[in-house]
Amino acid sequence: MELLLILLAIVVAGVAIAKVMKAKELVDGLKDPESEPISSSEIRTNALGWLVFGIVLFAMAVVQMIAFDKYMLPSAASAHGADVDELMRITMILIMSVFFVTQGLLFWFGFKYYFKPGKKAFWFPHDNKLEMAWTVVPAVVLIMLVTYGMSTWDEIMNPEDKVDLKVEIVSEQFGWTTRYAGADSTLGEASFALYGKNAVGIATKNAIIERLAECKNINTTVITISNKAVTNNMITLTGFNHYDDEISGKITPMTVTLTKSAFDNAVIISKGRGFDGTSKLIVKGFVTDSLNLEAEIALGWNKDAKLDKVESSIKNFRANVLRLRRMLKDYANDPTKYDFGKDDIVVNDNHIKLPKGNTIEFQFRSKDVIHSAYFPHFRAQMNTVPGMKTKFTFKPTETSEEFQAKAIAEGKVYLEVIRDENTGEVLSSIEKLGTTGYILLCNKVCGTSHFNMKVFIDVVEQDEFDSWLAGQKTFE
Amino acid sequence: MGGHHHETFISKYIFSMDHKMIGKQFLITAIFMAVLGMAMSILFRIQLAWPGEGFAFLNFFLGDKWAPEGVLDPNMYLALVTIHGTIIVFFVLTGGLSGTFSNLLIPYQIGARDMASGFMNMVSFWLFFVSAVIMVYSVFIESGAASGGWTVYPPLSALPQAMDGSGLGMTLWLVSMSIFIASSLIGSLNYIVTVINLRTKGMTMVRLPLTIWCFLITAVLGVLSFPVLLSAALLLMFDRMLGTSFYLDSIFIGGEPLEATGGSPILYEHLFWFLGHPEVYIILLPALGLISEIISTNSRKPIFGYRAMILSVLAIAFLSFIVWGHHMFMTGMSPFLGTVFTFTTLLIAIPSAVKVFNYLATIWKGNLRLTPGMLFALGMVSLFISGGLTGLVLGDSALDINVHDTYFVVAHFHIVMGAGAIFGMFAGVYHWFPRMYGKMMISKLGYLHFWITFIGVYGVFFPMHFVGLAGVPRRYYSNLDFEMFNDVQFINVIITGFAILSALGQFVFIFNFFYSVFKGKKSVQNPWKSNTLEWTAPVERIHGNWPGELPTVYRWPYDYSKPGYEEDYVLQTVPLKDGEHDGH
Repeated sequence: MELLLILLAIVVAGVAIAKVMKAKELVDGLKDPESEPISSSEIRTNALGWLVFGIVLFAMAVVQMIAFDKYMLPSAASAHGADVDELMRITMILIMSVFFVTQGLLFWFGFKYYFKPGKKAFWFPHDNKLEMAWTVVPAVVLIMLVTYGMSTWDEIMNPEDKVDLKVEIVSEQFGWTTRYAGADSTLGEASFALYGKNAVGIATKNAIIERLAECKNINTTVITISNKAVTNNMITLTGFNHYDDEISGKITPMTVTLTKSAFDNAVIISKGRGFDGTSKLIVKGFVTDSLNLEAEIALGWNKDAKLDKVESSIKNFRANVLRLRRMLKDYANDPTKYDFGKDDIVVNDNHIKLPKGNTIEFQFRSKDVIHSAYFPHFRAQMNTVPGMKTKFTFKPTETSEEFQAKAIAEGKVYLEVIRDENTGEVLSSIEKLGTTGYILLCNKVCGTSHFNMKVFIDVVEQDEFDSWLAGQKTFE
Repeated sequence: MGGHHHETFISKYIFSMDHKMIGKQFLITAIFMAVLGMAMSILFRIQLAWPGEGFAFLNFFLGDKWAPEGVLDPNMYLALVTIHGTIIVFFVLTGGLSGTFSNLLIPYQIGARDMASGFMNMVSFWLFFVSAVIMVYSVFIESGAASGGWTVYPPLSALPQAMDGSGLGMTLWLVSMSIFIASSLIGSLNYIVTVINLRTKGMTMVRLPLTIWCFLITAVLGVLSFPVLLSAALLLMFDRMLGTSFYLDSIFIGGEPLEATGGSPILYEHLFWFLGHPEVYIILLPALGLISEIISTNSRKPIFGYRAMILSVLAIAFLSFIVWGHHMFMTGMSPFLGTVFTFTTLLIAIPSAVKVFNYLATIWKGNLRLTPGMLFALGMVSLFISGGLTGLVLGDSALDINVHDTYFVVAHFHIVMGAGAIFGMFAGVYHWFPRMYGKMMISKLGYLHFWITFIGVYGVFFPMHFVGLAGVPRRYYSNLDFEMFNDVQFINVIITGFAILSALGQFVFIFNFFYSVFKGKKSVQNPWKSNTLEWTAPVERIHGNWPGELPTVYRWPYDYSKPGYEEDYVLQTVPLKDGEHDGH
C-alpha cells in the first residue's frame, strides 16, 4: 500500500517534469523575438497547467469527500451533539459552495486571460457598487452564520436541563480518574494537597488527618542537627524534629544513630536554612551546620546530588503541611463542606460508565499540567487546568450497543488490525462495519505519553448503571 | 550621498548597514532555517506514517539516543514538532519574510536612499541571527529541545520535572525568543519610521504600493503585540528560575504538591495569544502585500479597489487584536467570552472576502503573464481561499468543540498561513530576484518548483482535514495506540508521501536560487515592465540606490494598460498629462 502511494507520488512528479520539459522544447523551437523574460509558449503551457490543476483539485475534493466519509465519526451520540452536527452541515455547505465558486473563477480566469502579446488589459481600477456588494453580501451571510453559531454555543454551555448526575474527571500524566457524586449528588471538596493514595484528593476530615500523619511518618527523619558525634564508625546526630518544630512550634529533641557506612551512602539533599535561621545543610533527611560541610564531604557524602531539587522538595513539603493544617482549621468552621466527599465514588479504571439519557455535568480538574478531555463521539471537549475547575454538560442519547448499531446503519467502518504480540507486525487488517466505541482521549500536549492517554466509555441503561454504581465502594 | 564608499568585505557582506544587503542576509538565513524546519517535518511525518518502523537513516542522523533502532524517540518527536513550528512561524515567516522584503522594498519603493537607521537595521539582523543560532543549538543539547508545542503552555513548559524538553531546552527557547523579539521590535520601529518620514517627493500615502502599506501595518502590529509575548516569556522564565508562580497553581507532580500556588496557566494563554493571533497577520499581511503587487504587475491591470484593499488590511489588522480568544474556547474561560470572540473572529472573514474578490476582479480580463512569481501569487490566493474558509469552522466556538486541536486545525493553518505565506514569499523571491541580484532566475526550474510545491501542498493538507474530522488529535507521536484511528492511517501515508515529494521539490528552488545568484542571465533594468520606483534604480545595486537626485513621484503605482498610453505600463515617475486623473 505505502509503496503504491509513493509510486503514485513519483508518477505525479514525473508528469510535472515531463510537462515542463515539453514547455522547454516548445520554447527552444520558438525563440521569442521580444525581450520578454518569459516566452508566450511557456505562459500558454502553464496556463493550461493552471486549468488542469483546478479541475484535478475539484475532482480530488469531491472524491475525498465521498470516499473518506465512511471513516469519519458517526453522527453525534449526545443531545447537543445533534445541533453541532447540523451547524457543521450548514457551515460545510456554505464553505464548499464558496470554495467551488471562488476557486472556479480563479482557475478559470487564470487560464482564460493568459498573456497574449499586443493585447491590452481592461482598465478597471475600481467599481464602488461591485465592492459594496461583495462587502455587504458576505457580511450578511456571516452575521446569519455567527448568530446561529452563537445561539448553539450558548445552549451548549449554559444548559437549562436539570443535572441528573455529577461526574468528575481528574487528569494527570498520563491517565484519567473518575469520581461520581454519590448519594448526596454533590462532589465533595478536594485538594491537590491530598493527592497520593487518595487519587482525586477528596478532602474529608479523615483524609486530611490521615495525610498529615503520613507527612509526619515520611519526615520524622527531617531533623535539625544540633550536635554530631563520631565514635567507632557510629555517627550520632542529635537535634529537633523538623515536622513538629516547623509546623506546631513544639520542640521535640531526638537522636539518631547511624553506622558509618549508612552515613557514607547518604545523599546530600539540600542546603537550607534551619528553624533557628542559621545556614544548614540537609542531608537525606538530616540537617547539619554548613560549617561542617567540608568535613562531611570528606566523610564521603555524595557531592553530585541535586541540591536545588531537594531544597524545593522540603519547601513543598512544609507548604503542604501548612495547607493541610489550614484545611483542618477550615473544617472546624464549615464541616458540611468537607462531609460531601464521604459518599463519593472514585473509579480508577480504564472504563467510565455513564447512564443513557441523563444530563451529566462533568467537572474537570488536573493534577499536573494542562490536558484536554476530548469525547469525539459526543462532540464534547474541555481543557483540564491545574488550579481551576472546568465544566461541560452533555446528555448521552445512545447506549454503546445502540451507537454501534447506528454506526453500522450509517455505513461507518473501522479497521480491525491484528498484530503479532511479540514483533508488533501486522498479521491481518480487515475493514469492518461499525465503530470502535466511545472513548475519552487527551487532546492537549501533556508530555511524552500524550499519545496514549485514554479511557473507554460505556454508556448503559439507567438500571444497569444504578446497580453498577451501588456495587462500588464509597470513599469512606 | 549616492556615491560609492570604500567598503571592506566585512562592512559590505557581514556588518552591512545597507538595506539591500541586510534584506539578502535575512533571506539566506531564512532559507537555511526553512530547510531545517522542513527536514524536521519530514522526520516526524515518517514517524506518523509508519509508527514504530525502524529506518536505518534515522538512526544514522539522530543516533541511538533519539532514534534507537531507527525509530524516532517520542521525546524527540515532540521536540521536532515544537522546533519545526517555532522555526517556521518566527524565523522563516516573521523574520525571514518581513526582514527580507521590508528591507529590500521599503527604501526602494518609497524612493529613499536607505532605512531611517542603517545601524538599527544591522542590529536587527544580527539579533535575529543570534536567536536563530540559539534555537537551532537547543535541538542538539542532551536533554532535548523544548517539547511542549510551539505555544509552550505552562505548567508543562514551566516544570522541568514534567518532561525532558522542559529543562535546558525550554530555557534556551525562551532566551532565543526574547532575543528574537528584540530584533523584531527594532526592525519594526525602523520600518515604521522609514515609511512615515522618508517618502520621496510626491509619494503620498495613497500613492504607496500595497506592499508598503502591508509592511507598515505589519510593523505596527509587531510593535503592539510582540512586547506582550516578551512579557509572557519573561514571566515564564521567572516561574522557572526565580520561584514565582505567575502561571502555577495547585500542582502535584513527581509525587509532591508544589509550594507555588496562586497563579493561572490561562494567564499565559491570554498573553501568548494576544501576540499569537496578530502574529498570524504579521505573517500573512506582508505576503498579501507582495502578491498584490505581483498580481497587478503581471495581470497588466491596476489592482482592483486600491483603497478597499488598504481599508481591508487596516480592518484585518484592527480585528486581529480582538480575536485571540478563539484559540482558547476550550480552556474553560467564560462561555460568554466565547460568544464575543466567535463574533469578532467571523468578522475577519469580511475584509478577507473583499481581498479575495478584489484579486479575482484584478485578474478578470487581464493579460496574465504567468511567470513563476505570478503562479505562486495566484497559488497563494487559492490557498488563502481554501484555508480561510475552514476558519469559519474553527472560529465558530460551537463547531470548535469537536475539531479543536485536531488535525483539522493543523490543515487549516498550514494552508492559510504556512503554505500561503510561503507561496507569497516564493512569489516575492522570483519577482524581485532581478532587483536583489541583477540576474534572472531560470524560469523553467521556477515552473517545475511551482508545480511540485502546489501539488505537494494540496496533497499534504487537503486530506489532512479528514484526519482531523475523524477526531485525530495533533501532536500524537503515534495514532495507532487508539484503535479508532487505524482506519485513517492510510491517509497519513498519503500525506507523508506528498510531504516528501514537496520537500524534494524545494531543492529545485535552492539550486535555481544559488545558481542564478552566480551564473544567472543578467537582468535588464525593468524586466517585468513594472511601475514602481525600485525598477527605476540602476541594475547595479549602488549605495544610496539612485545616482544623483531621488526620483519624483507623480502618480499611483498601478497605471497598467491605462487608456491613452501606448505602452501597457506607466512609471510612477512619469508626470500626469494635462487633464489626466491620478489612477484610482
